[in-house]
Amino acid sequence: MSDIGKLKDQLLYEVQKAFYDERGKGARYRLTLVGVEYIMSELGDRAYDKTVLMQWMKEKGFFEDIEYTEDEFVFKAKVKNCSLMGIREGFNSKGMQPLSCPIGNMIMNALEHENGFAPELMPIDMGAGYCGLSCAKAGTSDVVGD
Amino acid sequence: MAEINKEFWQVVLDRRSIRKYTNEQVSEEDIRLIMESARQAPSGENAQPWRFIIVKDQASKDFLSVVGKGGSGRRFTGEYLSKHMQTRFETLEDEDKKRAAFKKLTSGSVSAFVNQAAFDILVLGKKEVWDAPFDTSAAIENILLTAASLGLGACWLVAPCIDIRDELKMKEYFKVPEDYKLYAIIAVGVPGETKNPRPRLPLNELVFKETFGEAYYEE
Repeated sequence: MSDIGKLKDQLLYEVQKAFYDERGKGARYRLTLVGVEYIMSELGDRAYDKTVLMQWMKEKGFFEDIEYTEDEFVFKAKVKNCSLMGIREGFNSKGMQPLSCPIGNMIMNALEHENGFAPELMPIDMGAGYCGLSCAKAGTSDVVGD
Repeated sequence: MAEINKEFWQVVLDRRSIRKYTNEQVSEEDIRLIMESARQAPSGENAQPWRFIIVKDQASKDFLSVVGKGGSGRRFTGEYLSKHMQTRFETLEDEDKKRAAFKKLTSGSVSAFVNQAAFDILVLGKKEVWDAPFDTSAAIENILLTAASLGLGACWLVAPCIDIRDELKMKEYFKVPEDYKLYAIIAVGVPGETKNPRPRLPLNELVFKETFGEAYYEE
């Protein structure tokens, strides 16, 4: 990565960390639209189609690959070698979860358009070379079962 | 304790987060007292960045309810699915109570009740002010204590607007200008429930002597 690239990653991490230090755990809810304005300006309504969206992001090199599964309640994606990994590692080095995932936000934007419900990004599984994203697609007691 | 104004202290002790209300209305006189108490709150540089919207219209209260239910339901459903909720409740041994708590939280009902209140107050703060979060919180506490002193019930909610996605929906619905942030919703009404005090951490875990860690109080 270029020095400029490293600098940008470090600045993005520091800005988010500063926000966390001010707002605490609630800060992540203030960042759920980060990346959405960008993707809407680039793709327009095509950003609402999650298949098109994920393929476009892969072609643009935002990440190397993505695999996903979903059921009634949960959308799961394994994002491999994401270009934003450096920001994640900043939080990881502090033993923290990333404050936001712009890739996840863009996908949640598509899911909200699809289902009419803004999803919840659950804690990210931070593996070597990948992120495991999980989104709750609904706010419902049905998940508890009978 | 001998010098404290006992009526004031009783209000502090008696205040509860009330989520059930009767159908009785709240008088305009009481509403004015509540809002006047908010106006009297302290603010940095006396900026008074707060603005309030009183919502009585049932359709608007229902809108608040839907957004609040979604916000709380989303958060708690995520917490349940990620197993964090189960960890949080692991000391609760009664499985039926635990399951009931999971059901209640994931349903979002902890915030959906706002449409049952006589009215809701939307608390806004001007962004171009240094201390708006703290100023508005001071105003909110005045509102809660004044409502309690009038024998009314109130509940301070952040869940319906903590997520920027929900806040934007609310701001659009209630025509809030861009330069104001929606900080909270306060439901107010005649209490339809009596609640016991919630557990409080002891002072010796909260108050330290000179530097962080050493308890100021022995117990």
